[in-house]
Amino acid sequence: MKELDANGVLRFNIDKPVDFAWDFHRNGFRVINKTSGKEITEKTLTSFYLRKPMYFDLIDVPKHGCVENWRREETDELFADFFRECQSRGLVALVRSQNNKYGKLRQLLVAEKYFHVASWHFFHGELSEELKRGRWVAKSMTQTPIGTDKVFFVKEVDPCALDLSYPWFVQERIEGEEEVTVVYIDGKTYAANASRDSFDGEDSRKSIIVNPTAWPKCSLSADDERAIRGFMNETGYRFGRFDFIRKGGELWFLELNPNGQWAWLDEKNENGLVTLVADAIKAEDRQHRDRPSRQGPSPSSRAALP
Amino acid sequence: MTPNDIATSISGLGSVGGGNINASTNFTYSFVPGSGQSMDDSSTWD
Repeated sequence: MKELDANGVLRFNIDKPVDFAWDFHRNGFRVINKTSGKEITEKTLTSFYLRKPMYFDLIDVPKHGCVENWRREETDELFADFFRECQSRGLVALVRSQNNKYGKLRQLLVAEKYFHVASWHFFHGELSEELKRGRWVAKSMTQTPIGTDKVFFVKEVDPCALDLSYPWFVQERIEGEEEVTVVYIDGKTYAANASRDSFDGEDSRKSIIVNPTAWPKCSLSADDERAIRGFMNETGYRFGRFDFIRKGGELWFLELNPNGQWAWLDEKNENGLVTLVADAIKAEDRQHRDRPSRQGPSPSSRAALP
Repeated sequence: MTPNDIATSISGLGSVGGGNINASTNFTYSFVPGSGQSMDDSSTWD
């Protein structure tokens, strides 16, 4: 499909990442074809046509994953999330996404309106100047397994030491006082926190895994609540678990887990979290029961049911 | 450094949340946040 290039379209081959470099960040993006020198940025993009990502060099993925599969999944998700963002801005051509998921890229873009957000980059092939100074942590867009006995935890890295032939997601390290996680349940919130003193990189996480401990419930300010509701209203999610770092008394956004785990925060329902979730389920259930379609499916659709 | 170099070895951590940590990458380790800057547990269901 090189003819696309000859017809005024910048073609990005997801299965030939070695030919391309990219950098998506809070102020825009740049994708460049390193062989032709053609590039596209937030200033020049007017339309995005996404073909289904395909890899002709199929690989056998081991049960616990492998780094090549991780690379592909991370790259697919980045460009799929970017495509959904372009769709929301009226910039896609021919093909439309059937969901409005907010992946890590889109979440960070929305979060800028409501919270403090540390600088971030999704990049490959080239290192921007910003990444050559400061402290950064490596994260992942997906939870794609990377190999036996391996987990891609958040880890502090020197971006200059990263192999640029892989796709990377890094964020500036936030020096805060505590971590705050907030479960949002259809308009209600439940917050818990843990002092940063109890975390020291991956080693502390290992200790938490070995000895899981619920974080104590904490309160949120009216501004915190307003920001959380604003984010959820804009994204359309009705449930999720936020992760923040509190620094100088203010929330710094890390991510929203749209179906994040929550029961570990109040396993015995001593603080009412289980009741909050159960009440929300029952409230929606009442709506389902009150629907006119409660009368039952039509004969034709009934026949289609298993 | 490659992603393999960044990834953390979890061998010997044993069982978490009713399942072996190696057996299910989504519902064993993912419920524990922290480690400085959070970790994702969203990709399974969204």
